[in-house]
Amino acid sequence: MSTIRIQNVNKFYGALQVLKNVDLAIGSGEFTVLLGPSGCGKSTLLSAIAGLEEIQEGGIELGGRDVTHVEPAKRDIAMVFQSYALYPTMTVAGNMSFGLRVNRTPKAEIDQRVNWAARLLQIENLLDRKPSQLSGGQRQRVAIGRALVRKTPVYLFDEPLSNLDAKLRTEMRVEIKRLHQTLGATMIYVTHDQIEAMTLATHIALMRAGVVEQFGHPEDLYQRPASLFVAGFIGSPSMNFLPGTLAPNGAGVGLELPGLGGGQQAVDVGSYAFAAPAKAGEITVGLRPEDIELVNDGPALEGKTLFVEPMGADSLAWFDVAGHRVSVRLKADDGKRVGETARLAVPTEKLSLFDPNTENRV
Amino acid sequence: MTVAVDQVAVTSAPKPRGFQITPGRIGLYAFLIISALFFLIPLLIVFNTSLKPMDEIRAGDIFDLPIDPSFAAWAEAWTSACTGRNCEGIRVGFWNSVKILVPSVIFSILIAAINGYALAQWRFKGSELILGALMLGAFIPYQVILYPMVRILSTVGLYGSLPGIIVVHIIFGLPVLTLIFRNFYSGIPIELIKAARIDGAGFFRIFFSIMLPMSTNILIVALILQVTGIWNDYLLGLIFAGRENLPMTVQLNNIVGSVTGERTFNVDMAATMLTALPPLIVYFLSGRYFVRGITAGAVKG
Ligand SMILES: Nc1ncnc2c1ncn2[C@@H]1O[C@H](COP(=O)(O)OP(=O)(O)OP(=O)(O)O)[C@@H](O)[C@H]1O
Ligand SMILES: [Mg+2]
Repeated sequence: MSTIRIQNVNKFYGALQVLKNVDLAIGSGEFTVLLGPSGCGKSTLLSAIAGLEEIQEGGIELGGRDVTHVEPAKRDIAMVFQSYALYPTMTVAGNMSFGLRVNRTPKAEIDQRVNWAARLLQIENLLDRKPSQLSGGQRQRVAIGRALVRKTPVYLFDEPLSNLDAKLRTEMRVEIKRLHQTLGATMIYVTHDQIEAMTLATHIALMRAGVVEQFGHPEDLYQRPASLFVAGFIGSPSMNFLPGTLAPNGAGVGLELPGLGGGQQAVDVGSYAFAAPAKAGEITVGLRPEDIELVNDGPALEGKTLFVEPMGADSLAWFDVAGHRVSVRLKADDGKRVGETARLAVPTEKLSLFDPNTENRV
Repeated sequence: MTVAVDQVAVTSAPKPRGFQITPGRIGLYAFLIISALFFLIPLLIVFNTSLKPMDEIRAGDIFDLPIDPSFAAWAEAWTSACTGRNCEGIRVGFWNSVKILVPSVIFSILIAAINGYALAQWRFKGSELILGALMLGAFIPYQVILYPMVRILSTVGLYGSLPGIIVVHIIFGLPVLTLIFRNFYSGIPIELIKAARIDGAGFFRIFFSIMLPMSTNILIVALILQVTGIWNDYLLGLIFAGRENLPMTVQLNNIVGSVTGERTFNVDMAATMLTALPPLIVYFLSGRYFVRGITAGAVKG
């Protein structure tokens, strides 16, 4: 019912193209995060969905209805802005009820919805205040409350938490997740914070320079990144990249890596899910820090220890492998025991392979 | 205008930090005091003279204080001073000015605010052109437009009538006021309007429910500019208002100018004071907001 279909949308500001062939199908009740670096077009895409920005090509459907040329007010959406955009001369209650008053909702219904949203967001005691008398977190709640009272099937959020401090951000993140579960509405959420994206999303659309690089479940983006960009953007610390060489042979596929020791030239990656049959040649290998294990024997990369960063629950050890920096996530105790050199086992099940020329996953 | 000048000058002078007395500061204060006196002394003389009876004026110096201050001249100026043939006092002009002022001020400010809001927050085809035209309008001297204006108003049958002079004041006020409002409204974040559009509000709903309530300071600036400007206007009133609706300034000139027998300085001065009083009162009541609004506009503009 409240599905969202974005079809081949192109958007230009003069000669500058800010959305390039964006094509997304979002299911009803899903929480989709638009993620990407600053300036990649996330807000523009959200504004296009809201109808605040014209698109030059393509179409947008909300709940099966073509809304490409429909006014924002008639799209049945609610939106939360990064800057809150609370009406400064109205009280909190006035802010929350404005949309309902414009639409001539009966007074009793307005009161009931405002009270419901205020209770949900725990701002009941703030209803008579002006926005200038609120803290950042409180303003944020009011902004969310203003969207909630509309009871629309689709909610749009543009970086709603980016102005909050770290602690408040974590709290609000949990509340937004809870809201999504309670309301069951379709939500689109813009952020450039990948933690927010990973924790909230049922789907992530990772954007770069106006292009959606990958659209899928968070685990997909994390474990099977479609391109070097996605691999490097998601995960902190970032995925390790090593140049290797693929050599398919009769029994499997050999992967030659620099610094491979233990009397071996290559590891076998025959179990890797190649999109197309493996071709011999240069390849970029991506390894997540937590997928690498330190081992005593067997085929492994020989690394010189650079330093170990304790991070509380775990530690991050950095090694020099044949001139390439490789990070490994270790348990805090193991971090303390790292010697001057270490042997890094290659997780043949969990690595990602990219074509160094196209930068796409193979 | 006199009081406005020193009010702005005095309040916007840097506040002294502690008691540092520097030559620069002494010079600054000396300059401010002298310029204040420069504008105040004539006002004091006018006021002083209006309180004296004629024989005292004839006998004494203009700086002598009245021996027995009385508002008799004020009463005469108000009710029975003569402007040519009729001797009904300056009150006729006062009420004419009020009738011109109130609608002119209300409509010029309302229209300018809506224009400024449209120009600042809604991009539409030709908005740049309109802005350019407004700039031109704001700087073109009145005199250039007077004759075309007379012709246009005669054609539509408004020349020499109350609606005629009101329309003229509205039109002449619009360029500057629109620019002031446009500047003010461009300082307001566009997200506010986006949020309201998503909430379902249209152009006018957004203006009246959201923009206008935020505009108190700038409204007061516009109010002062318009009240004083229109009240003090002489030329437009003389040309466009018609004999029945001559504003107070024109009536004042007629009273001062029509001499039958001895010149009654005290009545003339009282009539002058009466004419100057409304803008003075507006300044005293809202000069504070005026400075605040001007500076708010300056920082954000
Ligand atoms: N009104 C405009 N006119 C011209 N270019 C614009 C306009 N608005 C945005 N852009 C450009 O469009 C691109 C996308 O902007 P957008 O605001 O969508 O980025 P974003 O992904 O939301 O970034 P951020 O994370 O910084 O908010 C940017 O390169 C920006 O410079
Ligand atoms: Mg943005």
